[in-house]
Amino acid sequence: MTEPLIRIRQLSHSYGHTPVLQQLSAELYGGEIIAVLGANGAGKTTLIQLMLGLLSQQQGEINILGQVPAQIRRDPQLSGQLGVMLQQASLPGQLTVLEQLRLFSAYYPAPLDLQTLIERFGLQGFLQQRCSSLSGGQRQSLLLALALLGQPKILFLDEPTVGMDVEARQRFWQLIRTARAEGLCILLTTHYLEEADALADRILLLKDGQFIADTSPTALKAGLSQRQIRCRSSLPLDALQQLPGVSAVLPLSDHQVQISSSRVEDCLRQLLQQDPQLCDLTVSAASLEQAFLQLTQTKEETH
Amino acid sequence: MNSSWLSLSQRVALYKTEAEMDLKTLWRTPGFILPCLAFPVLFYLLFGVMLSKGQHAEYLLVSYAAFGVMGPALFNFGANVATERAQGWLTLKQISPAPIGSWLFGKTLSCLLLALLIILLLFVCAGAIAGVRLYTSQWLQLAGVLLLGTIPFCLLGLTLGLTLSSKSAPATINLIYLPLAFLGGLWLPLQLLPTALQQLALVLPSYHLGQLGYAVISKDRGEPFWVNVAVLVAYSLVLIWLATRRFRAQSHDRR
Repeated sequence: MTEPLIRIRQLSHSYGHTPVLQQLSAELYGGEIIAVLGANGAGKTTLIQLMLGLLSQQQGEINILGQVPAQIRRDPQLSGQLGVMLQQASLPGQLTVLEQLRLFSAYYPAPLDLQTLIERFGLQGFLQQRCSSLSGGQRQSLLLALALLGQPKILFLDEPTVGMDVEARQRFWQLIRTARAEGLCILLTTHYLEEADALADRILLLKDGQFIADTSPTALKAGLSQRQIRCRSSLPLDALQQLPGVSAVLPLSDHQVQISSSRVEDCLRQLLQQDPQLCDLTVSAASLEQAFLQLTQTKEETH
Repeated sequence: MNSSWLSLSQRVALYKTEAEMDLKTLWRTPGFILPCLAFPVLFYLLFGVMLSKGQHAEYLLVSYAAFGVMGPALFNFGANVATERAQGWLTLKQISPAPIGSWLFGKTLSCLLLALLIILLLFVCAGAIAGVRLYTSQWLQLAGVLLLGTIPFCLLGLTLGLTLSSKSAPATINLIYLPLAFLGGLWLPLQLLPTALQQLALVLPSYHLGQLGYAVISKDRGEPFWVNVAVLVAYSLVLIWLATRRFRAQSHDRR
């Protein structure tokens, strides 16, 4: 196996007496997209800032490209191999997109060819536009282009698609997938489960400052026992509650119910027997959202 | 900085690009450029030419030129750095492999060019309207002293910009700029102020910048020029130290 590009060991961090990260460990490799998934305030941004050397490290080890973050900040040979998109960074509004690209490409000894970059990121339509007049999606595309300009090995994306519409987000995801195909190690923080599901090869689920899961989105969903049945039934709610494996019955509108069950097949068999009038039946596979809720809730119950 | 990162020609190109972009940014912000240019000129025409009937046109030329060059230094570094910080733009630069010197160079150069423009505008007003006559060497000396004297104010602006929030920066900088000019004797000659304030002036960089200018037209208060220079250099050194500390602390006071 190749060497990991990022290695984190027993990393802890606290603000004053409030612990934010506790004993995190992970190894990240090139050619994969790793999503650090967690609710707002789970410590995602703190983790990124520690890796970039923007926060001084308190406990544990971070090793990026064989160096500690503070060393990387001092050495342009190393910091030039990191591409970064910060959460909600905005660009000085008075410069045009093209000027911004020119400025950033002057930072690197061998930047990507601007023309190629402009086409790849679909920036040609608004090159002469001031950065202040860009839409959210356009601005994020430009910031991603700036992050990739120096041909980095590692790409940090902190909540990159906040405030984007669906279409812009899809396009943006495609750009990130292209970067993965080029062998970059991409670390993405997000609180959109859908985003982690669509993009990530691996999900690090961050809860209360700890990684409570480190696995693929599929495995995360497969590990989930609960599935949902939706139907229109004439049975009373407590009869539904008695069905096999049922953990919750949620009445929707007009005799519609949502039944969560860990034994969905057994549950269905009995349901159909007991209620010949049953209609509008759907069974939904677990979504990442449910996995997320289930994992974070079981965690809470053990407290 | 690791020198093998960018070749010499690439570094020259980087410094040029940074300067070009900072100038363009300033130029496209008329709300910044116009007051910077207009206030010193208006004050000079009003107080130096019309109200005093030209009697003090020479003295006030120095006063308002010194006042004028302090403006872009304090505001381009102060208010604009505070904004860039708030936008996360400064952090992006700190993480990037570019030497931070190129960013400072760009900002300093655009301050100096704007200061030069203010000086030239005032010189034209003085020569063409107020009838001020100086030797060529005096015009040149005056311009040179004022340009160099801008540096400590750039550093003061930088320190403030790295400290203040983007919302409070413009107002706070005005609260520093205007009293600094007034108490340094740039609006009224110091003799007209109470003795206590005259004493206070001696510790202000604005006073020493003014004195260096007045010395060119032999209207200074008679301190040896090296005293003025020493005070300005001392201010610069302390401010470099403070700004470096604030710059390093940037990353650590954010969540």
